[in-house]
Amino acid sequence: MEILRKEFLSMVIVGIISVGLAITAPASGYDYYLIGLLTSACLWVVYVVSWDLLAGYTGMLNFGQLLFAGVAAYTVALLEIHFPMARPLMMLIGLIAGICSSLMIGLPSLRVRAAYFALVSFSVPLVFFRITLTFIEIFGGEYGLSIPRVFSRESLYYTSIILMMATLITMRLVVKSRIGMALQCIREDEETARAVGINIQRYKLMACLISAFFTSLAGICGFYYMGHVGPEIFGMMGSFEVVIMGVVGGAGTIFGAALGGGVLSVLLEYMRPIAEYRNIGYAILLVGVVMMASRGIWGSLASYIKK
Amino acid sequence: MTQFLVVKSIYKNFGKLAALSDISFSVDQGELVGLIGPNGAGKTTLFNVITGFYRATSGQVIFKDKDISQAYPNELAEMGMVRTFQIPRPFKELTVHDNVAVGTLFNPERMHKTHLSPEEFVEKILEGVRLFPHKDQLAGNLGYGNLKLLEVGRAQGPLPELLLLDEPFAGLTISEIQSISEILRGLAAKGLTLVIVEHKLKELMKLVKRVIVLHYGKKIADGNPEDISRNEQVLKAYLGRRWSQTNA
Repeated sequence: MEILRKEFLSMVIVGIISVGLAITAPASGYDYYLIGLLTSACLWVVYVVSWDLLAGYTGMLNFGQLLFAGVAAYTVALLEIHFPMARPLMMLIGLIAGICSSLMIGLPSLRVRAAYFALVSFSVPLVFFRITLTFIEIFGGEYGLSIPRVFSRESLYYTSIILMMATLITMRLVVKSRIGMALQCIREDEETARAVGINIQRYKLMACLISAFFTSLAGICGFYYMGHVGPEIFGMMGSFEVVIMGVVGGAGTIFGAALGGGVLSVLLEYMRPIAEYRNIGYAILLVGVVMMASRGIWGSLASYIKK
Repeated sequence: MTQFLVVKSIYKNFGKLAALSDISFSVDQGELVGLIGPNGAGKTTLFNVITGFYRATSGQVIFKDKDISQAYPNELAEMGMVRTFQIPRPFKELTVHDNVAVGTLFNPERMHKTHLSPEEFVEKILEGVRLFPHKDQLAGNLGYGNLKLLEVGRAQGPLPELLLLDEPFAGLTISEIQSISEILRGLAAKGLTLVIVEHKLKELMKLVKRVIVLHYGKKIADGNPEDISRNEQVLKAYLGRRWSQTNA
């Protein structure tokens, strides 16, 4: 209850931003470009915030965050195409598949640390990338899987806003609770954490499952919005972008990650006209932030305000 | 309780190297024991075996009548056995207060034994290790001497009955050693059982009531400090054969 009181202000701000987003769509006269942009921004926020729980709080530098989203989305897509049933049930199965996929990086994390964990998290999605390209009859190869539109853009837009809000509030409560304390201790020093009585295996897995829960939901939401899921979701670029957004925004604060995800995903969209050059701009931004503000935009803002 | 801490013929091999062979001893509740030996004697290895960071190759460790040979460090903390590290390993990005509070937070069932609220309990520990004025500082910003104190403070978080300290004096000045000795003496006076690994014998001998000596992974002596400092085998281990022959 004390956490709720301390976090009240930040939750109000999250609420205001969400309501602001929700009235943007009708105010713009349901401009589909804008709706698409904001929906994807909300989903990026969910990805990056979920990543922050693992990387920023637990010290598990995950280079394959979109693995969970991809597994969830492909599962729902396969069900939609081959075994149609009640939608909530399909989504639930997709969600469970996404959460289970987190064990593929969660279980190795109990044995390997730091750079080795980053390598594991980096390679697991690439295996899935190969699988989707190899079994073309099942996964559609490079084209991926597509379905006709089943939910209106507006409803998915509102869903993604609610999902973002729920993710932010839940994550914030998690990191301020006992669990968050355990995760930070694990990040700081695993041996000391064990020495003072923290079951590090349990909390690492818990962090993976929570992170995968929200990432999978966002993956399913994104799949229904696009009506499509392709192998690129298991590719390097997407998951790297999650890391970049998290680092630029500021890892280990949740709100920093949200800021990075929201701002950079919109920025990335506006950089689309310069095509491949945008990666250069992106790289410069990353290097700049890492050199000038190693704690990300949020970290610099916070220390500036404190002064 | 008949068996507080009993170590029964522990062997630990790293490959072909026998780091510990046939170590046996027991510690009663409330004792203040020093564990000494020249470099490479196996003191820290023994520590790691007792506290669950290493698995013994063979042998048994019993704590409060339970076999803990296969227990994990976090389970031992719940049972009331906590260790410190020779080189301080604080949670750097957490405040000094939180470093201590973590232990209380994750062992709630042990906290019933104090009649204090968790907050009062943490503050009392911080006062005990003289870090109360630094409580809101990040642990990463503390100096070395204070970090050594924080090790002792953090280890008290789970309200241990047995505290194992790995070289609490290492790297400290004489006055710092005296103040940490005083803190440890205070803890022992409150009934906490302490096992201390140390190199600085002069200070340790003044502090403890009993000394166990390891040499090349074997226990060579066990007794009170006066006897140990006259024990021929111990002198040989520390100072070499010739010295002990001429001066014994």
